[in-house]
Amino acid sequence: MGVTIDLLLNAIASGILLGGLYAAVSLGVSISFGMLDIVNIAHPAFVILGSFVAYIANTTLGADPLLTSIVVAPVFYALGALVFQVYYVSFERHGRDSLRGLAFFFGLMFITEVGLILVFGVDYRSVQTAYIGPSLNFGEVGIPLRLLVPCVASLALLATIQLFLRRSFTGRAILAVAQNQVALQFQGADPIRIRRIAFALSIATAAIAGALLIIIQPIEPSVDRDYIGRVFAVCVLGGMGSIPGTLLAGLILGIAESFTATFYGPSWAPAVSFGLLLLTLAIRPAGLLGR
Amino acid sequence: MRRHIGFLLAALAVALLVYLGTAWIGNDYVYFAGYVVLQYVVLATAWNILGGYTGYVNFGSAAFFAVGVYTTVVIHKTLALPVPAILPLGGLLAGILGLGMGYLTLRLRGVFFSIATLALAIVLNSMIVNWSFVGGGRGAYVIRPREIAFFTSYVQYLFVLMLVLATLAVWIARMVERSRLGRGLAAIRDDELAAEAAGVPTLKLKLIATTLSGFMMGVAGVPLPYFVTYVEPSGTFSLGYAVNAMAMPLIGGTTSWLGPLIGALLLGTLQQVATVTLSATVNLLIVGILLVLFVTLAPDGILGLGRAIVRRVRRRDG
Amino acid sequence: MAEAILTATKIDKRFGGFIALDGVDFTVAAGERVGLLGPNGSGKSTLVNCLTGALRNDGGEVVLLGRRIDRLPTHQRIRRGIARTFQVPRPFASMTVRENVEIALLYAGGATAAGNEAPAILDQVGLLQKADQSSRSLTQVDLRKLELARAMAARPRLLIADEVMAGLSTAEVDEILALLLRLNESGVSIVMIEHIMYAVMKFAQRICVLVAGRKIADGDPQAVIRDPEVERAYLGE
Repeated sequence: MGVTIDLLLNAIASGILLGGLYAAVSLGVSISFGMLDIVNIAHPAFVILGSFVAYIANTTLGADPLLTSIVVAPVFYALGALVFQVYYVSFERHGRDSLRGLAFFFGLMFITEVGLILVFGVDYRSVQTAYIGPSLNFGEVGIPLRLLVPCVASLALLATIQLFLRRSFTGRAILAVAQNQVALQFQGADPIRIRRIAFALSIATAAIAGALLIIIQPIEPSVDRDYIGRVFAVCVLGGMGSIPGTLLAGLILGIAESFTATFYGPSWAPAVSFGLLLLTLAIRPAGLLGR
Repeated sequence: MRRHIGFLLAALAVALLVYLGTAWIGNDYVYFAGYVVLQYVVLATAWNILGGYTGYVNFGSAAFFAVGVYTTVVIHKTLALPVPAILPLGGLLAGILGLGMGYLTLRLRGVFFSIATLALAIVLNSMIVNWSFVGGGRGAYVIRPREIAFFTSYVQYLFVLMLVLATLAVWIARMVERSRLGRGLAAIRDDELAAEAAGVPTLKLKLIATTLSGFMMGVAGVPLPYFVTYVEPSGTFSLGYAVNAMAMPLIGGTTSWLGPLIGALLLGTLQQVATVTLSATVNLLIVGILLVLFVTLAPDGILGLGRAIVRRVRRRDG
Repeated sequence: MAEAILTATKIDKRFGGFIALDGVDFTVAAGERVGLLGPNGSGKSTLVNCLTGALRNDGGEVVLLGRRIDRLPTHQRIRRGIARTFQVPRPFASMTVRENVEIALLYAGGATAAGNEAPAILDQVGLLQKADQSSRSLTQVDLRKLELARAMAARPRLLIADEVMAGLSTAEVDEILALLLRLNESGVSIVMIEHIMYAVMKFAQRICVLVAGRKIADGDPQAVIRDPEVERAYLGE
């Protein structure tokens, strides 16, 4: 079978749509790891937690996943603030010991995943909404709304966060903390408080990313593992903490995976992010938009 | 060297006592449970050489372990060598994997190594799923010999094999800890920049640690196919291996060879007992919660708690 | 003049668009005591990092004892005879004072039996009584001494002391000065980076001044501090 144009166009289209989701899922890591240097490997697990919250609201109340996620985002924000506080008191305050900090987040990921398995089992769950099913067709290229809606929502989320970081006082303080903590202290702001806000925000984005994820694909508790390689590949490739970089890297990963799935088979797709991560680390650790 | 040989002889004597104890009980269940616990002793000890001594977190223990497992599957289907002959081969392949991973990521910040190992298990998993020769996603059966000379059952034979491996692993870890290498690794763990400035070749030492740690994890996986007789990727790459290999040293205490041993014996036995009453999932949840509790509340593990108690008692008496 | 032990020529270092070092020449003769001065951010620490290997220079070359070293990793430079202390002390926190020194003896000092030489070095810096204490429990002065002890254990031909006296009392400064002078008498060249003027004037046979990544003066201490350009850099217009 040769490579037909419409196969190629469909692969690109679904790659871009998928890339939008990857950017949303990775956004939190770009904030926590990229800006705050907190290696939150539990982030994908929090995303899945967000998916299950959307699932419960959808099956019991018939609520729209996106709407649910915006409502519960403050709860995730509070959860994030709590996690940061424990992390800060136990590890960061003493400096250095990154070993135990990593183990801590690994443990959180594990507890979240296993906890979800205990409650929901390992069956795949999905949501019901009006936009799951129909497609827009442009000639040979079909764009399912199931993919388009999350992609657009993801762009909106990224734009909101970018606007917040650039325009608001707190946002600029976060960027300042990301650059240099000492400088901020002279301006009278409390870097610990700013870091807590930023980390809490990163977890709040997980609620929304989780809703987007369950619109796109059915999920089960251990789906988070598929996303660990992806989120860190996107974060590093995007230049550690750059929001436009996160979007660009998400799109690149989405297209690369979509091509791999189309031309080599879907079972190879998880390997793409890992390859991309290693390649980035070996060739250009500063990422695409890094210095 | 003489003191290391002395320790090895003492450790082998303990192993012999363990063997005699189990032979006296003479129940196959003891061999089954014992094998699993001892396998964790090897895994936890191996993890600790990189994690505890050097300060580099490996999340991909399952991947290195799986290299050993699938080496056996391949050899079983081709050359059909006896298990002891596969051990060095499985170890070597896993060691090379460790070296490669280290070489690609350790020149950067250490955390990238951890992230890469996290993704490694997933990639290796998809490679195995796509490799039909070893059964792909469906898995492969490994028929073990019905009988084996000198042993009452094949399971007893595997148990004794793992007992010897665990003894050697602990011996090697203790030797590393007290050697020039071990002190260099400790310097890296404390402060890498200062270690370089004290003349420690940090990259070289880290690569030795990743290779040795990977080797030992690979060796731990080699006998598994004959133990379970059916291997499939989702079981082999289970997060349980990764979390246990890491939780056991962190709970036992990471700075000494004794820590992973205590952690593995304690947690391993606990899980063997609990599987009878609780589900495997609840079991893993307990391990996860213990891990988080220990790293936040008792950063030096059981060993650290023990030392603190000894200090307090001495102070009160003195 | 004695032959040069270290010759750095036209060292450039950039961080992004920022030029930290701009064509800096720096030499040290065998047995010499050199003071390296400059306001904060003038490039002193960057120069030290380029010489010892914590950073890689973008241009120029560093030659130690006739061999080019600027592409070698830090630990190999240390073994070839250039040791340093850190401005902010970086002890190996899980180890005792003695063990801290032993690491450097084991890896850089070419010692076979680490236990034998550590006490002598600790005695020289006045830490022998605290040899078995955890390095975590040391005071600032003692931490500075430990930095020096660890550098000395590497058996250097050239020691770069990066602000080892900052924040110390006058008595403590004199103690460390005496220590450095003794070390120098045993044949080790020393580069002292310091803000404490009187210590530098007392110690250095020659002074180099860096300002904004350029060397603006290099020579006899008395002449250098009267240099109008140096005065301007330090005192403002």
